[in-house]
Amino acid sequence: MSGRHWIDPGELDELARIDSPVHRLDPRAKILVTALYILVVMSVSPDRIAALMPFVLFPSLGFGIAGIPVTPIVRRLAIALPFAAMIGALNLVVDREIVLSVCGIGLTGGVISFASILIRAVLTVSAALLLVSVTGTHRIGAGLAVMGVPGIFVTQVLFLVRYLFVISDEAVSMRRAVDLRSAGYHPGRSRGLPLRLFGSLMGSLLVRSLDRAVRVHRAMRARGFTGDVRYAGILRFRSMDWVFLGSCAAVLIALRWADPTQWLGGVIAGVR
Amino acid sequence: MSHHLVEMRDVWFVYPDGTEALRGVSFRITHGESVALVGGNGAGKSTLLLHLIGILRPVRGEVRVGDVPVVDATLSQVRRAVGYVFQDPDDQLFMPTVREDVAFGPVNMGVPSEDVERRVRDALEEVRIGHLADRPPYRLSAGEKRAAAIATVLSMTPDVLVMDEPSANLDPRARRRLIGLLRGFRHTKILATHDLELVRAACERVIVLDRGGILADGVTSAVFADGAVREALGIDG
Repeated sequence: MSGRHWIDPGELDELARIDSPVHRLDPRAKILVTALYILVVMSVSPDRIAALMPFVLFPSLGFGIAGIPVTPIVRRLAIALPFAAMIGALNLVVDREIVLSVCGIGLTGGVISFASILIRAVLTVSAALLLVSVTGTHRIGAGLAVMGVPGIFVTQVLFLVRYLFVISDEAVSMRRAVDLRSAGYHPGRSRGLPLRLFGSLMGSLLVRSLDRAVRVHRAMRARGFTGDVRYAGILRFRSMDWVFLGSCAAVLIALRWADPTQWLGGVIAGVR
Repeated sequence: MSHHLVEMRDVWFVYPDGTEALRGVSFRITHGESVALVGGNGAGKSTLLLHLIGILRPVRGEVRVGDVPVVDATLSQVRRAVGYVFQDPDDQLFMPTVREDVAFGPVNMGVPSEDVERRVRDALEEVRIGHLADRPPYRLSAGEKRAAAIATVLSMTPDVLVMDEPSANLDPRARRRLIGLLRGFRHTKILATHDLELVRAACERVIVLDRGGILADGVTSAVFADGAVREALGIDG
């Protein structure tokens, strides 16, 4: 077995094996709440950063109650954020009108919408990571299938995950083989591969992954696989799941449209 | 009629690149036999085994399992009868837990869920890894993976067990355990292997493949005493 990597593709699924009240919820309830959360967060207007703040609660509570460690989540966030930053970066250039001044520093509309995009990326990606780490890809697949998502999509998702392992394992062992035989070969370039070598490595990674995929597929066909993953354990939607779904939906909708930050601000202003 | 019958009649197979992998292979394996398929690298062992579950089809000749020919119409029946343990357990184990992996076959066969649970339990007990049921397969040791891979086919209650290099990558203890397990199974067994010690311990009959054809077929001790076989297998150096 290979050692742990910086991003271990199995890590989230491993976390999904922890036992906690959040883990025990039916995957369908968690999928619906996560989807609603993402929709609500995305629907907040870009210029209202304060209105996003209450939404930090949802993932934090989730991670806290489920006992999910911070490090693996932060690592994955770090991978996702540059993409959000790239999307938001254009706003900085396009929208240069100063709309707010904090301590004498003028903030343009672009800066605010850039920050809003980053914050929303952190929130929504964490919510998705939370869903995977408290449910596991396989149970998410089962939930989606039972909810009526066409089998072909569910199978795609599950296989994407399965083959991620396959390819990352192949890549790690190839990288090791290169490292072991390239000592001193490229003086002053101990890290990073020359482009030519990188190209041929990628090519052979593709070929090896395809070979491996063929063997996995054979093994599946040998055990009667016909294209649909079926689920041995039948999911049960219990009263606890209804309570979770109902209360989360109510809180999310209230946070979106009642805007407690203004209300709280009003209360504090009133006290003064 | 016996489900445990495995037969090849003058089977020829050519890979798309033109390599003749099987050249007129014929044999008949009957109920409860334990047969080793030996031969050097590239002798055609894996190619032959893949014919038994219809993943490869002969260009000429016929493969029969349990009195039915291996053709499209009989594939599900054949795959139910033949439990195939692949060479690399990592290819065979693809579900998130051992339990789900062992359940995969029976679930695909449409076994009712309470029976699936019982079959999974029995299969894991049979290879003595009941305690690993909830572990993810990719975190197991090589010996444990091998046992789990065997359990994934035992749960389908096959009549015939086919194994490709079952003792590869096993340490001596895991290998001894495997031999013990194999001797315990009452299935018809076909093992492709380079491990001649395993053959002597677990198989009473040997088929020797050489360049796609059968060089020898007979009782293990007699076949291994044959000079041409020893030469082909590189025994005695």
